[in-house]
Amino acid sequence: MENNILEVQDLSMSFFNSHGELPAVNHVSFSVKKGKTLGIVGESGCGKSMTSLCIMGLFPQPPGKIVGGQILFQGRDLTKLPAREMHKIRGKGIAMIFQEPMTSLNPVLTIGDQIMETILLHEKVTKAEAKRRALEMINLVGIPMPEKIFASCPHQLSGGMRQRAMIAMALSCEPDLLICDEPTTALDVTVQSQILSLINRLKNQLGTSVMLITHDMGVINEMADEVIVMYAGQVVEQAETAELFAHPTHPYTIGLIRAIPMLDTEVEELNVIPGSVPMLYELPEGCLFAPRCPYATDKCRSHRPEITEATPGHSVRCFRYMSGWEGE
Amino acid sequence: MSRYLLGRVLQAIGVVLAISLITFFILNVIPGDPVELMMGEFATPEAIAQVRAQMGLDKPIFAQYFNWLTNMLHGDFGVSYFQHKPVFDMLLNSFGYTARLALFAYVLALVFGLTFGILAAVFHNKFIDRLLMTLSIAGVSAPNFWVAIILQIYFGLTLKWFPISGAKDWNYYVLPAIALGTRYAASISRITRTSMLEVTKQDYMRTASAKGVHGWMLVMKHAFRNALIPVVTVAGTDLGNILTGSMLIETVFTIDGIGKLMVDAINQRDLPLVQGGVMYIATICVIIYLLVDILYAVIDPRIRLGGGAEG
Repeated sequence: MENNILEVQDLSMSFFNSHGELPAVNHVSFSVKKGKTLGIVGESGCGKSMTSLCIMGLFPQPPGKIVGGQILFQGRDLTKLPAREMHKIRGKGIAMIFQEPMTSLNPVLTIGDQIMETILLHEKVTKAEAKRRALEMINLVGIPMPEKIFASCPHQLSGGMRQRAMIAMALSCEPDLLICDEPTTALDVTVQSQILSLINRLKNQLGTSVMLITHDMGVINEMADEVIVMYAGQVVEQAETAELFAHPTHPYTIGLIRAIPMLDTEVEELNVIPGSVPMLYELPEGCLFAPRCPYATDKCRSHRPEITEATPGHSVRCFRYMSGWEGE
Repeated sequence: MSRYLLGRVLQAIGVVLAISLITFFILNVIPGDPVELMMGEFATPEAIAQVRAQMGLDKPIFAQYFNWLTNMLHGDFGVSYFQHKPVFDMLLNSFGYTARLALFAYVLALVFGLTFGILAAVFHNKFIDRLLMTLSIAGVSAPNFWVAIILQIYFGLTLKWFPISGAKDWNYYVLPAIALGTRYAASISRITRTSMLEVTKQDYMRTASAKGVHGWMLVMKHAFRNALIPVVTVAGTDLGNILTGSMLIETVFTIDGIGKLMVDAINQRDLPLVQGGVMYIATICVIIYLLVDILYAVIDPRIRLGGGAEG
């Protein structure tokens, strides 16, 4: 499809260890449209970060191994690409920013060095030109006094500044796709909204597509055009953002949305989803969410539901929906 | 940076002074009168008293200490009781041999230690890693005098490639340098590997990979520099050890270095020589550790520039 920059089709990645095969990413399919933001949401350990590391080819292997499916980026299947070609795509075609700005920058190199490195690696430019572009990028991400920051080391900057520097680094070669893995989780709330609006502004300015991974439904609501909800390595619901918030269908999605703390309503205690994501070596036999699901039936506990289109553009993996239940 | 440096230099001077104090008093309270030992058992008490006065040994102990310290600052470490030569000249002469041996052994240890350590980390859990780490265990555990004797027998006596005793020319140093450097090469390779593997797990390595950095650039520019601090610590201590002389190796190969000189001095209770030798060893160690601290700052901007913004 012309319109999609990235298409992940039926992707499965497993870890192989003494417990046997552990499916970390389980038949996942989605696509990122040109110039749009796809949000991936789910609790810790649901496979959202692993999915993004699969796209980058940076998951730990061994013990990890892609056991099925395709990752089509601009028409090329990344799972079959030789290492040499992947090096060219990382940083140039697809760039990534990570959760921990404190530890994600190399402590012994200056910010300038680290931004210039990406440019020099992927583009045939002189050092002077690379420096000029690095300064331009630092300026673009809204850091005052670019020259000073250029010569600074990561430990001299605040968390928000480091994340800005990370973004400058990631966007320095104008990638077609930017993967943001929990870009604001480690930051103060005020800094968080600054960074999110920065990502949005640059996305529009540079025409970059964004894949945003988060556990925060609020961030999804603010940023994403389309959302996939992941649970224990599977996509459980997929829809456009407005549709998902208006008609959440999977009990897990409903739980996530209910768990968003509201400032304008008085509540005794916050809503939580009881239990936690199952370990990969003790996945339940039936629907993976059944043990925590308030609506689970015997069928849910013995059979796994497939993902099905509920309304056009809105898919869900739930027996209750498939038997005519319309959510709440 | 200059603040850090100044602090470290002052600290170093303090350490040397403290060591001089401790050395002097310990050597002066151990039983056995050096004058009686020097004059032999038939000396009259008057003669002994006279020599004691001549050597300043009848003065109060603090006066003796300050006397010794001031003289030392002027390059006068006293005269050996038994060889009647200035201690300073004797140390300097032995230092020449020890330094040459140390240089060869250390270069060997660094080149092989770092290369093997990096290779083992890059090929973690592969055949090369297992082979190199097996070798390094052998290197760390084999006593160096045993390695020395094996080298002498095989390369010296059987193959006749290198001389096995003395220090007349550079080729005399080959076998002792190998015997001395092996265990340091082994320990440097182990710490390099461990440190590199630790760094490989860090988030910034993943960031570098995500930028498209790969191969040796990833290993050397991103991993190695970050892995260097523990390596520099170990390698620095090793340099201190090597430069202060290896008694065993110098004895096995009959090299008149600091180690051999010190052992002889201790056996003869040659007080000025022992004191001078200890001061030499202390000073070398303090200088090396100072250099190590400066190197830390060169490698790691967090030390050089001090803490910046946090949070």
